[in-house]
Amino acid sequence: MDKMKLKLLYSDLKSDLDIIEKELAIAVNSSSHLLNEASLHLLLAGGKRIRPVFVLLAAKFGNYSIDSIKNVAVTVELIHMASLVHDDVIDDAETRRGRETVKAQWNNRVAMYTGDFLFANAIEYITDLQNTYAHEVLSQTMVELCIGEIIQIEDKHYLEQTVRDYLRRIKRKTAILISASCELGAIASGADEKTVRHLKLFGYYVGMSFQIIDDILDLTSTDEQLGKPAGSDLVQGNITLPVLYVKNDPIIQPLLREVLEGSISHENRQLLLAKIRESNGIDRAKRISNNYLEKALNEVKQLPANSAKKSLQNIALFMSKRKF
Amino acid sequence: MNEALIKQHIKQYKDGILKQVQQKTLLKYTGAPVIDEERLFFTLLPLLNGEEWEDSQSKSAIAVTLIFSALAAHDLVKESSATTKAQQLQVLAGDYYSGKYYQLLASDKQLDLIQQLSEGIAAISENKTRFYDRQLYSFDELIQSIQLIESKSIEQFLEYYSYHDYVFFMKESLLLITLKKELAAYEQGEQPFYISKSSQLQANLNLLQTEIKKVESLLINEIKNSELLQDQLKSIILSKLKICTLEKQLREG
Repeated sequence: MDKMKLKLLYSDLKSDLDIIEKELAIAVNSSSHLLNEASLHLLLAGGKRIRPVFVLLAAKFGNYSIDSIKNVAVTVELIHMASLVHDDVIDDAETRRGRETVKAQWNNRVAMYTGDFLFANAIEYITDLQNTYAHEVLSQTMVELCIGEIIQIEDKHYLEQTVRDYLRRIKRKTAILISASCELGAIASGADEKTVRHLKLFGYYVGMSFQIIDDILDLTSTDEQLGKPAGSDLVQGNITLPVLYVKNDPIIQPLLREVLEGSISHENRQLLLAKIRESNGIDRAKRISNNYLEKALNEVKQLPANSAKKSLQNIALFMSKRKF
Repeated sequence: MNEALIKQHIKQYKDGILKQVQQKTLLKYTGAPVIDEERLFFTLLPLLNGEEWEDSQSKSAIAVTLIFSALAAHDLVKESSATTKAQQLQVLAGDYYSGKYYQLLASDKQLDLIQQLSEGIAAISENKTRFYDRQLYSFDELIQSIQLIESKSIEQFLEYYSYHDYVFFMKESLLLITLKKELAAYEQGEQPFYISKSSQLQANLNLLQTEIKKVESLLINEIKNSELLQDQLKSIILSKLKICTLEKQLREG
């Protein structure tokens, strides 16, 4: 995703995002030399900080004060960072965003402790928010995130899974944290119940649309655009929406079995990607993503008018229409 | 409280904890969560000693035990090549139990305790990485780290509910049990975590033995003279610590 273009869409938040960036640096600071290095390594790797952006924009629908919502924004980003560190252990990933992963630079156990440290700090930060409902939302989100990942591992290499299985999985894996970011931002700023609900649903629909596009791009982008080999999801056994639509195609199916069994040649992998790209699976998946996008935009329409409304619309459109 | 009743309490809590975190895939691939009965015993020390104990304390005790289950799950992830399904799920098991502890306390509106326990988990993680750090830590610093890793969350729980007088017995007992287990395992040629990861500890096994004797003698003295602990509980603690001589003395009056 083009980070620069995305940043332009929320340029009015720049000074507040700078505050959050500084707060993140404080949050990952540790008395342990090694942990400090590992956490800083992660922080410097950057990221889109899209979840904090959603927290801030959602908070604009209540009594916005950076002091009262910055900890919520820091929390959701720390949770995201912690899950990436642990995901890299699960995926045995050597690099992320062009940098060595914590597990590659040190080892899996250090990655475990780094993630635990970040998760703990995330929770500690949000305890400033004396709203028990917000904690119920966040704790439920954390549990659901794990269940989503557990199901993803369970579903790996399983061609008989359905579209419904896929949608339920990405809801937990991706959409729920974006939804919680919007909901928590709104709760922290004291937005009214109806607004909180629209923002929560907006986050959920955007998250769904975003993940489907992400899965499409894994199949349609070049290695250079992705920073990893195209089709990596399939190589890891993750069956995504476009593939589910074409899994019974007589040419695609045997190739799919080869890739899922780990026995596919480079040529056949390229052939498989080409066949999927030619198929209607990509367009059908795009249509589903667009449906979610429409639903997200419909939720925004029902929000009270303010400058954040336009930003939410633009970010949703950007995330769902991006080319890589 | 007699031994049978104590066992019953421990079992009840264990069942309660397992019920909280039942997840079929995790159970299939990683087994039930690690629940250290000794640690659970010291978490429940005030209850087992006849102190007032409310529903909220029960929930918090379960949450504290879940924290250790979460951290223990991550201790079981191999340092390299954790690529099997069981290992991948071990990573998620830890995160899942961690989410469950937070969820349990959030539902009980225990925000202050959540804040303190989170701070404690961060400190535990920091101290665990000391055993992978290239920095040099003194023998005393490492012992302090071990004690913190083993008992921080329980200490915070006991302090939170104003059971201050139990903290000493819990902290020193868990330290003693850990050091004894570590040393025994190391002497049998195994690779226990703390000693195998620290050349400082390996080079100072005599200091470790001295530390064990020091803690043991201090504990014996304090348990013997304690007006807080009931006699039956004293005896059970001592048997857990395997300080048989004193146990005998106590039985003989």
